[in-house]
Amino acid sequence: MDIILTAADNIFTFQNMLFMTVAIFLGIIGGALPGFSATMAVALMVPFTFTMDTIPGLVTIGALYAATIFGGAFSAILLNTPGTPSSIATCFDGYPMAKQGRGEEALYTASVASSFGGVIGTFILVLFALPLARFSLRFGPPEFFWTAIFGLTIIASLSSEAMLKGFAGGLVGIMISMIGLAPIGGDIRFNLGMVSLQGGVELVSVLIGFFCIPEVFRMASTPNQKQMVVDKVRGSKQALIDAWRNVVCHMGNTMRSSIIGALIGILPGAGGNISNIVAYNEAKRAAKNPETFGKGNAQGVVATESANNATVEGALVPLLAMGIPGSPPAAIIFGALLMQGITPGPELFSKNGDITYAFMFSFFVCNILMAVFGILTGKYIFRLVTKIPSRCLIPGILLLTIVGSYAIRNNGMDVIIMFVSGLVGYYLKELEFDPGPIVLGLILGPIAERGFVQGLLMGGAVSQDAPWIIFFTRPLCIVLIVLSLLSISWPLIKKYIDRRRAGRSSEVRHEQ
Amino acid sequence: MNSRFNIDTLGGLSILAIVAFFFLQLGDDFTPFGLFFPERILPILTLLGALILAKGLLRSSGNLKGVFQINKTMVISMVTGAAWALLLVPVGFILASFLSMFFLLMIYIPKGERTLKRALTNGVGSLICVLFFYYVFVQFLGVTLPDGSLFMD
Repeated sequence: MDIILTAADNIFTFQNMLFMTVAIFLGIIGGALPGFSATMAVALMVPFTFTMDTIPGLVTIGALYAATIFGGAFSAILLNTPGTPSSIATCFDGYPMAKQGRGEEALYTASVASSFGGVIGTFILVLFALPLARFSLRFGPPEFFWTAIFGLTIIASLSSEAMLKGFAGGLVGIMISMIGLAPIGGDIRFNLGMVSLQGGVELVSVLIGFFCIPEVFRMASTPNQKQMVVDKVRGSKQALIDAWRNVVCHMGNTMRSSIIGALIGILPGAGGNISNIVAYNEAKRAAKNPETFGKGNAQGVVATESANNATVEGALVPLLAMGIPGSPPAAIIFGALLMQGITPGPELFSKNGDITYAFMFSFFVCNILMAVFGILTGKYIFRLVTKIPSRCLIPGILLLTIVGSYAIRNNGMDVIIMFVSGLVGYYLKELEFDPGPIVLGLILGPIAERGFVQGLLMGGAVSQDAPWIIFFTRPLCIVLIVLSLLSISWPLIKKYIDRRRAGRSSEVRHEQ
Repeated sequence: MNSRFNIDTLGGLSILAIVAFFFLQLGDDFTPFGLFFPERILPILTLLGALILAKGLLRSSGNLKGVFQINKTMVISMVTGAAWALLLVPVGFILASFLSMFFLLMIYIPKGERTLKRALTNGVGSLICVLFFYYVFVQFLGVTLPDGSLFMD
């Protein structure tokens, strides 16, 4: 109890609140810019924190990290462009909501859900940091391979209407992810002999290309037509009430998604880019009306936004408890901690308990502040976007996407890749290939390949005749295999359950 | 249009084309580690492509009518976007972006409404927008946007 009071005392100072507010404001803007990642935001902020005291410095970095992830929702909802890879699935329902005139509701829902997700993630961080960090260390290459396979089985329900195309899209994504340097062996693959492709294809460029550019082309076909209108009948107050209900009255979805987000965040190498899609998929699977997902169902926004913000705190679990950064921004925070003279690890909680708990507790405050910011600004940003004529919006979005893709690595090739992905994305979308599975393959491909090849090498050391046996004998692998089988057969199981339910209700009606 | 040529047949053929693109680049100089994963993925992708193609040929579903409704402004936007992306490094961010934005803004104005005043307004607007982004990214975000290799010594 003492430690909680001390932490609260350390956080609620004018200086900390001011730094947090500025960091949240900058983070939301940074996150909304496509291509400007949380890693870049945190890296840019770290030098400014060197001259600050330890707690204000860490609190500022933490708030910036969380706000950047949240900011990605703005461009996802308003422009169908995930500001960060953590907001990919926010586009699926957020953008249709905005097109239906429910942009304010979508932005408010994202704000409230992010806040709830962040708070739940912080609870998990505070209460279970040490045991969860130890558990995450039990994940070796074979487990990571099966985790990636489990992630890929999501395609079954993401594209239940065109499963063949969904799986083909997923594999195309995996093949694209292989362009450039191989994770094991160091081969340069599929780069068409171009030096600029040796570093591989940048995920964010492809994301922008697949999601945003096809939409820009569609807008360009009727440049003088309004793309979005504000629903003036319901008004902002009603939108806010609806947003609150979307999150609080569906607490099961919020809790489940936040826990998924936090748990995925704990795994080193996995982050918000995976958790938001997994949470979206689970929300769709659990929903009574899965057919409305992708058409403006607010529960899709709740799932993705609560998951990606819980991932922020999840990623800090292995960092603070074991000294292992689980994500690129966490690695930069690791550096910032070292610069402040703090060494992350099991001793952190006893040696620097006051600072560590203050840092962790600051996420409670910053997540609540984030929701306030989102709600206050959401209305005006949505209205501003609806007021800009499409003919001005199209070149504006193109400018943003070009700057964003270039900014990732200061590489002109990323801009070309973004544009080519846009053309391919438009072509494939017209042929009913959903961009979701392609992007999922792109994210999970490297994890699956690294896990697979490293697992085989590990297996070879145990048994030269059957190195693959390692993938089927470890307890966690078996659990993941069962989960993958359940996940892939879920559409069939659901059909069977629905048929039985329908049969039973018709029997009851018949008896009556 | 042949009824057998539908979105599934085209989709299947596209997947097979993607397989060919990657298959032709599989090199003998790859290490077994680099070759292992693509060698397993490509046959599965070929099978899926063939299945989609077969589905299209057998069921003749998903007519191509209504697909690829590309009009003139859309093609102009695609070409301008491509030129923007390709010229970014050689011409530089400011010039490439200003020209592309200004051109797109003018093209989207209905023909009868293209006046000198609107051209001036759009020109100034495009320039301010491009310079604003250049300033923010270069000054505050530490991103060195290209200055144009053609104009450098």
